[in-house]
Amino acid sequence: MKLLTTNFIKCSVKACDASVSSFPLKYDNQCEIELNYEEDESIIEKSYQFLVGILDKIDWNALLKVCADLGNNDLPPNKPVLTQDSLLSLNDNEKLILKQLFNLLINTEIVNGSMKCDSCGHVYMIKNGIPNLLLPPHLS
Amino acid sequence: MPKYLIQLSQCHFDFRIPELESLAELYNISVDFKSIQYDVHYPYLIIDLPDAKTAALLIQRSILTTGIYELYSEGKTYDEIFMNINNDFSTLIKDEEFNKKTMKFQLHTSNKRSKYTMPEMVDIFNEFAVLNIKNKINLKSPQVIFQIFEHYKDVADETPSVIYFTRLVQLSLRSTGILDKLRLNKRPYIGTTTFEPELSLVTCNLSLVKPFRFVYDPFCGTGGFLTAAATIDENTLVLGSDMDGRMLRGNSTKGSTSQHLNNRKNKTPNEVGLEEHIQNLKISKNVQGIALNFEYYKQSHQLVSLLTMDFTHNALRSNLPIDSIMCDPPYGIREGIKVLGSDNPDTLNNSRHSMKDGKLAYLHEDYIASKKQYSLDELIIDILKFAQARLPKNGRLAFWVPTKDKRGMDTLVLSEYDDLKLLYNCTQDFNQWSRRVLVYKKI
Repeated sequence: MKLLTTNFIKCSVKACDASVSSFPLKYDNQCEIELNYEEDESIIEKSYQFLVGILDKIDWNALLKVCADLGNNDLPPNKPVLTQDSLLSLNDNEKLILKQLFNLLINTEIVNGSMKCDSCGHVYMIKNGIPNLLLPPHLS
Repeated sequence: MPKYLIQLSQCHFDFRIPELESLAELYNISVDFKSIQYDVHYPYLIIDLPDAKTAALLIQRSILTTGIYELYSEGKTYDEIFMNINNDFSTLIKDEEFNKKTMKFQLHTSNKRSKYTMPEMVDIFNEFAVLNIKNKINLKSPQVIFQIFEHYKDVADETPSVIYFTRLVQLSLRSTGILDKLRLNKRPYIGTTTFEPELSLVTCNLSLVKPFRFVYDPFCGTGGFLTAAATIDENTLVLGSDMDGRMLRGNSTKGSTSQHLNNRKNKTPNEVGLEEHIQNLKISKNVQGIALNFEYYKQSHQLVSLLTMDFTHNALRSNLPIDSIMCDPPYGIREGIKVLGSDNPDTLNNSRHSMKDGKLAYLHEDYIASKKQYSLDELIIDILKFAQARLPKNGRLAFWVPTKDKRGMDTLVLSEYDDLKLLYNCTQDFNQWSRRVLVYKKI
């Protein structure tokens, strides 16, 4: 699963919906991670618009926490402010940030591993890049 | 306001006006389709629109039309055509910028028994000399296409019942090859229940799939709707889930990866290398299943999440803004309808404690969650409940159901559910059975 997905999923147990600790899930630091860094500048150029479009859907604090769980503490503490209009006049620094974000959010795959709900303690497995969020009968 | 002629595709009649009406809402174009004269068996629709830009916007993403044309004249004969030429045309040919463009003429006939030969067509085009169009002709890549439509009321008729003289404004996605691109026999990963491309694209339009907005399919199976949603607009954000993770990953017996490509006879030259290309993709990108299709269509970045999940126990965080929900849930005919849980009290009790390999069984990586049967009507209510909870105002839900369930009873159609209002109920007929799409809007 894309690292981006960690920003969208919480625990599936209904009783955890009200708990703030059910999102984001806690990712095991032994997760197997694959990086498919995109080097093709033309694809990166095209991805800026796409990235800015998803940026406003991202919960930055949750992203910081997940990255820290997985051993990456390099993200800026605040979400970069970018709009579709600002794409017309990006400076080199902003381009670099977008390129890094693209690689982090879209091109970083969690292939195998597990994630745990801090509220109920249930552990979900990630296998071949797809997380399994099904629940045993006593939790469903 | 100028008049525009829309050429309709001659299939899925029930879906054509709902699709156009949906596209008008998507792009904020005010058209009252109820006041427009519409005959199911007539291949053209004439509407008033403010300008060509609006006309292009309306039709560009459409699947059930072939294109939109600015209408300059109509009549029963060519003499009438030249007499009835409107002001929009006179203004156009006086425009100097327009006169610099190259042009060509085209003729399309509908319901005519024998097609025109080339010399016959050229004779007709030559008659248009009376209009004094000064543009240079370029047959290969003209900047302007004048299009003539002749419609014959009866195939036996010698003369057309109506002729239209128009200029092409915008071809639809249908006319620019999207159906061929998504053809199932050219798609690397499909399954026995993969939804056909044409109506899955129409479903995308009916549920107003938008750029930079999430679209979610809670029963995505082999990802037919997801692929359609990513193709119809290159900036949609696609989410899919299914209870059966094997379908998503592509190691289910119900799905086939590219074997159907191998077995195909009469491959065209550009398909010969297809099999090899897909094998290379599988290896170099290390993907299979739905992800392989997204890699193949070069839209991997749009596939935001694929989850093995029961949508009634949903893990997508509740403040995630999902604008469109569309699905083709199991009908209980070819595949069973299931939800997480168990009706057996023993299973329920054991679930908490039973062990496997010294580990709690439910935390074991090979654990298979138990599921119980439920009915199609319960499922429909659950889909509506979910959409009611998750869609924003004006968000849409489109889902397919059979018109009759396996007992032969009519399936549930609610005209309202809480803030959801039924907009469309369109039926697709097969020989033995039929299914329909229900489209709801959150008000």
